[in-house]
Amino acid sequence: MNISPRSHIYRLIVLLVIVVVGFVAVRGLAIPSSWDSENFYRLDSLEELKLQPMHLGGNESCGGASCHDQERVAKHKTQLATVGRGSHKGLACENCHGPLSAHVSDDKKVASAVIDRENKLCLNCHAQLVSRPKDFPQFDTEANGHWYFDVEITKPCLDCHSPHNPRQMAAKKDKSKKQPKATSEQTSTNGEVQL
Amino acid sequence: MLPNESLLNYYFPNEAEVHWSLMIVIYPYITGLVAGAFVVSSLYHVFQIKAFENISRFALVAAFCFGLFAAVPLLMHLGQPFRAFNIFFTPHTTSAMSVFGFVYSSYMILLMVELWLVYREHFIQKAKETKGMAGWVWKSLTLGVTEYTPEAARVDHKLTTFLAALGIPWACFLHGYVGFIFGSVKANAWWATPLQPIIFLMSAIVSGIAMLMLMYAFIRWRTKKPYDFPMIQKLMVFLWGFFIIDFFLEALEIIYVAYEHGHHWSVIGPLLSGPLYGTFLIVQLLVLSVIPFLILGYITIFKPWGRLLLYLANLASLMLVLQVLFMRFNVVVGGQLISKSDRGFTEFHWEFFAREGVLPAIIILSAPFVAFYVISRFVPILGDAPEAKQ
Amino acid sequence: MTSPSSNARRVFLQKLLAGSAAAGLFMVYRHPVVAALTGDDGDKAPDHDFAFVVDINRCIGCGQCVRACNVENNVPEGQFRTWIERYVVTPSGVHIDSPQGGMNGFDEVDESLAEEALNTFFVPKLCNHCAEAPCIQVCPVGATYRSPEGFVLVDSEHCIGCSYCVQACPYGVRFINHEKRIADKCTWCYHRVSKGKLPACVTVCPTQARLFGDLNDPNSAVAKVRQADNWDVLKPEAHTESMCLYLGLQRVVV
Ligand code: HEC
Ligand code: HEC
Ligand code: HEC
Repeated sequence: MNISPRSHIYRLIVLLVIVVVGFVAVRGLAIPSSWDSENFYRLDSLEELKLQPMHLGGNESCGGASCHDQERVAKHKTQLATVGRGSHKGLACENCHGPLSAHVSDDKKVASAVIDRENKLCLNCHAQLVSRPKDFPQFDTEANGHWYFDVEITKPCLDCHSPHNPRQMAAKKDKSKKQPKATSEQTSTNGEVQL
Repeated sequence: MLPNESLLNYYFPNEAEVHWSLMIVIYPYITGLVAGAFVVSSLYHVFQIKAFENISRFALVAAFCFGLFAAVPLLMHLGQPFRAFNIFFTPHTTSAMSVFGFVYSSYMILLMVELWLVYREHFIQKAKETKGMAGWVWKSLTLGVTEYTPEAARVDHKLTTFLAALGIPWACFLHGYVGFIFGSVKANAWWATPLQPIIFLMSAIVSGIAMLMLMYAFIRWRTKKPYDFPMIQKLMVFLWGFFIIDFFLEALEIIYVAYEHGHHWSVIGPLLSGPLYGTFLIVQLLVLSVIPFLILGYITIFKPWGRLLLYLANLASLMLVLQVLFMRFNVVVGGQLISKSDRGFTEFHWEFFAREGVLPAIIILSAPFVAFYVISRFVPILGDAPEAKQ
Repeated sequence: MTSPSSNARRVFLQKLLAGSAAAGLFMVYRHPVVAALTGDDGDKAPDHDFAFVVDINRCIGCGQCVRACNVENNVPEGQFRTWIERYVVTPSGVHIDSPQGGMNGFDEVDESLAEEALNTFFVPKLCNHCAEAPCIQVCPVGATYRSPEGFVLVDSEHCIGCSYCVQACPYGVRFINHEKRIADKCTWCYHRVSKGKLPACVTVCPTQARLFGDLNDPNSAVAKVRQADNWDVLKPEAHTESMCLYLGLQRVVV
């Protein structure tokens, strides 16, 4: 038998070539079909990201465009208008009523929106903190209105303030008995009464 | 002490977790052992250091065994190990990490080809002797060429030398790039230095040589074979040399940052006097560097012989193997302790059984030795018979 | 009989009509600020260039944004796509905290600290969607990228979870999602913006401390902020071309 002293090398090279060709072939199959080799990412991932469901609707979703209960739509529109008038106009309904998806999903009502009447809700934004901007209204027992009515931090804010238009004082019948002055004082200064 | 006049230890909320933990500590450690062991075999094959003739094959097998497990910690670390091949399919060339797949696999191929050339004679002999299934395995390892002629041996020898020479820059690349991965992260003051690749490379060679010394001594002791003292002596001289460079660079980096007293020092100073005080300053720089430095210096200058040389060499090697392990820990984990808020440090939580815990790390670190043992059952590694020559 | 010129004129008119009808629809259904990524499926690259503005002077630290973000994006507990920090600068040093990312707002600082405070404020943080993003550079597989409109996004199907991007981000906004085991971070609510909505945090911010919009639209709030040129970016020395412009950013903030 007369074999070349390099025959094992040739065989090795063939083996390596097979490995490399196999790799190139597998790689060709494995690259995602929508791969953008210039910008180097999978274009389909953009579409996939768009599919992520939304949880927050924003105030525009509270107008009830898809809601069938006309009575409720009217009520929401009133609230929207009320909020839009007062000093809470920059707020989102979802700030206080929770995310839309917990309330309405697939255009169907799944649960009532959260209604939180605790002081914690207001104090989340209005508690006095040194770090807050000085011009932001913060709860202060010494402030004119509060000092006048001996307001403690434990006193329900909603007794006096309407959450949707806090400058305007709440005029609920049962509450107004407790704080007749507050109501009258505020209605007179503000010229607006919540109905 | 907190950096930048911080009154409260603050880190960004997402930094509560150290994202690169023990697996990424042992990954550069193992690749370092590969590179270091390979360099020893090349010292003989390329630089003709005759003292290493008898361990050059052993060094190659050891490098191969470490190489087998170099990628395992990475796989353990990945959030999506089944997608690991994406790094081959869509390697993003702007990323230092993307070349890992190619550098690592080409290096392993190089190692395997070199080993194959070295062991071809043995494979052919076994293929002729063995029958049945095992015979087929041996035969497939010969690629069907069952004659070992002197001409073929000459070809092999030339090619081995060539591959050994090619392997040196390649090993530097393999390991220097690991250093680059860290050194190029500008967001991390403790990592970002152009010295990082060369520090990694030098410490890799140190750990590789030291580990070979330990393995060699262990095997000789277990098999009750005589020790090759001239070889040990020479190996320790090289170890000393590489370690001096390594230690000098490591110290240089700190001294530089401290002397510059710039932005980086504002966080590195408190890092070194705080979270890394023990593991870096005391253990890595003081105990595990100064003592082996002195021992190796003694070996080099006073040339002890016999038992004394053996004990000293093993002691120094053990300390250096640990020194490099600590260095990897101090770099990888230490860097992440600095909060990117520059106002505090996170804490590293030791885990034992978790996926990236101590136990998996120990298992992975011992796996190469098991592989070495298994391979040594089939092929002669440290035989007293000289290596196949032309 | 139609002359070629009148024919051409008719085609032109038809196009004009179709165009304005489409544009009209667009105006009706899209939020004006983000009349954005969907619509126009012509082959030219979308000519939007989004940016985010954070006004530190307005932030009250209520945490609504953090809560909204966590709900909108199912962010796992203990991880944050956006968070709020509180800085209290005193003569002896700076005190920074962010209890649970500011998710539940903040309790008042200790009285002694409050008395010492020279200067104190809240800083919302989120992904800066850098034009020169280090995270994109280091991603080994191309699983993170900058969309043509300027969103830095993560391809959750392609990410291998190596965390290199987490290391590379100078702002600490990236994390490995505990549940999905991939890299995660703020997307500027790409899914919302593509449907004409604002990012969740912008939607709920009661004080408009967060603004989002298209720099190519000269009337947008962000374009005006950029024009006014009194903004800063975080860590300018990192040269990441951050697209989150901060108003009222103090040097002490990192
Ligand atoms: C500052 C927090 C806050 C905001 C912002 C807010 N609400 Fe309310 N809302 C409340 C509270 C508190 C109540 C319960 C009032 C009560 O029962 O006294 C309430 C009650 C309601 C009710 C039930 C009223 C009723 O009579 O049954 C509706 C409907 C409502 N809100 C709609 C809205 C809409 C729509 C918006 C957005 C435009 C909005 N809210 C924004 C706090 C808020
Ligand atoms: C999400 C944050 C937020 C919540 C919750 C919130 N507010 Fe407000 N509130 C604001 C903002 C913002 C303003 C407008 C501040 C401004 O004009 O600078 C405001 C204004 C006010 C004002 C008017 C201050 C003024 O001088 O004009 C009052 C009163 C008020 N809020 C009371 C309440 C009460 C009571 C609640 C609880 C039902 C509440 N707020 C809940 C954010 C909030
Ligand atoms: C007894 C009724 C009453 C109660 C209870 C009450 N407030 Fe007021 N609050 C007032 C009046 C009156 C004013 C002054 C309104 C004005 O100046 O227009 C006022 C003003 C404010 C202001 C504006 C302060 C400013 O500087 O302009 C804020 C904010 C406020 N209240 C928050 C709260 C919060 C939060 C609570 C609950 C913890 C609360 N209030 C409870 C009556 C009340």
